[in-house]
Amino acid sequence: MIPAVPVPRSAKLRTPVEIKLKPGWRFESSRRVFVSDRGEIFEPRGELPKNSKIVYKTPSLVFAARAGKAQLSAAEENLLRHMQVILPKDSPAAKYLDAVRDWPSVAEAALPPEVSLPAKSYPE
Amino acid sequence: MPKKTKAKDQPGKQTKQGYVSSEFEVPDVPDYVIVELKYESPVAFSAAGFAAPAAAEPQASALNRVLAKYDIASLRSHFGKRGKEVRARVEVAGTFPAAARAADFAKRGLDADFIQSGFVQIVPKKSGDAPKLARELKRQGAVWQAYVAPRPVPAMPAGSTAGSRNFEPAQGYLHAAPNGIGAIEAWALPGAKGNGVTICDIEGAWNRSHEDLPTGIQLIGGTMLADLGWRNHGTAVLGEMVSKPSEKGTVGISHNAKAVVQSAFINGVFNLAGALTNAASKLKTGDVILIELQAPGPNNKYVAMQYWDDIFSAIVAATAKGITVVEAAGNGDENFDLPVFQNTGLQKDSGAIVVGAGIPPTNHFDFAGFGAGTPGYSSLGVPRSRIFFSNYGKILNVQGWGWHVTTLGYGDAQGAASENVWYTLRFSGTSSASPIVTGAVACLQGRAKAKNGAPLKPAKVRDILMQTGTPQAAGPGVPLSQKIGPMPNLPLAMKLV
Repeated sequence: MIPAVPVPRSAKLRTPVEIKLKPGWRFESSRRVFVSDRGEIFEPRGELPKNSKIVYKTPSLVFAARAGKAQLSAAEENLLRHMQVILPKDSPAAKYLDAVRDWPSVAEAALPPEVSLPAKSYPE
Repeated sequence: MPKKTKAKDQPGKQTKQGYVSSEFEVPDVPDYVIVELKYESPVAFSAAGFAAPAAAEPQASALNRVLAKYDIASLRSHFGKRGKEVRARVEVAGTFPAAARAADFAKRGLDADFIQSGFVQIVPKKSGDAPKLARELKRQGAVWQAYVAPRPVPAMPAGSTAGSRNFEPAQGYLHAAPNGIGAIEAWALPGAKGNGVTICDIEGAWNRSHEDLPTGIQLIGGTMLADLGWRNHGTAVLGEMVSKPSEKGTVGISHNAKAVVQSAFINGVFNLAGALTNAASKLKTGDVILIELQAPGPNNKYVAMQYWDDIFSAIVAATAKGITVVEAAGNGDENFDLPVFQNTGLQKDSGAIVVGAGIPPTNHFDFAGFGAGTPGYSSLGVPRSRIFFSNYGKILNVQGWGWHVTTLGYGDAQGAASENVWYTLRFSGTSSASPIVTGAVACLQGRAKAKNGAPLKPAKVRDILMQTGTPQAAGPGVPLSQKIGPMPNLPLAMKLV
């Protein structure tokens, strides 16, 4: 047996679809559309259940980038490509994974890692 | 009814009965009077009051007159005797002379039922009446003793208001190499207790009210999980690094450092990259981030979190800001050098210090073990060799104790009603190893600031720990090729600051 303490079911966390944007694409949250540097637009309306949210994983970097406050490093630029599609509680992420993967703005889509604590459960 | 009170209002106070438990909450039960009738008094009782045969009726009446002065909530047998059993005592008591002597009782012999039948429990509606009622009843001829029942305190190793017990002797990881990291010796150097350094622990829950943690540990982002297992874990991690030095509890490796915490759960979902980025934005050069998480990789074994691209980039970005990131390697018994991990974060340098779990000198199972291959009470292996569950590979840098680390939480070493005084002797995994290294990093950075006026770069910190650490050992089935790295040796490391 390998020691691990899983996230309790009682936490009632949602499982998002994790996406990595293709280079040159960004998400405009005000219009809820993906936009590419070449002017392409992809609107995911109808692709997702009502009340779904599409969010950047590191929103503070988005603000910094937009404000031009800092020259982002390569690592930060890479971070800016990572987003989450947070679905309503009764909508399983796995059901939407293939559809999201096919979006023209998406390079990769996956379910998030099943995180746990690297310690043994207690008591034995 | 008495008010619910906390005995901790009287910290350190020794009562007539002994030390008062520091965190025990007195149950909300009323004060009541216990009356012990004389063996030779042929008096019985029911919920309505006392009664006796004609010859002893004055004794019962006297008792009832006392009761009549008070508002009585209940009157019953203290030992739960039924009415029939209580009435039976009248016959036995009548066999004794009016002024019976001990020899009379011995001659007849007394069974437990008879003795218990003379114990009466009287609950006044006003708890404040209990002492007066007891005094008056005690003066009556049928009564041998009457007193207010003692209030309960837990009979567990809960420490006392004299303080929780001192667990520092069990913190072997503080001791000199090769057993520990030599923290105690290093503390003699100015700044080497983590002065001026902030440590941010990223996981999911903590008990920030623990008695041995400094006050004001701030949650800088995310949402805490309401789960005891996760809360114990976070508390244990903090305890290794920043528990307060005193005559009780434990002492943290870098107890002069400031601690903050960041949850990896943001907007109701797991988002470690977001947590890392947020934490890094709130820390300064020379500070430390600890990642206390793992997740299954492509072989369905637990791996370090830098396997995932976004998390790897977040670590790189934090490290570039001069923040040292310490990361648990994970408990997957996984080899990070396998081809399946090519071009992933497990075969690239994120800048983090990746920590494996080594076997401590206290190297045995003290429970049922982990199955047939590792039965209870068997040896874990050679000290400083890889524990069977620790991940390994080229990206691992250093090790810490991965077994039986004494720290806060869980309650196996000291339990109580309140989590705030729980301690453990058994925190384990790369979870227990990583805070040891994190504490060592904070000590180094605190010393660097004090000595040089500036912290070291994260890469330098890592180099020093690897260069000066006590080497990894080989053991049966765990050769040195299964790299987890050396264990920090702070006195030697300080020489390179």
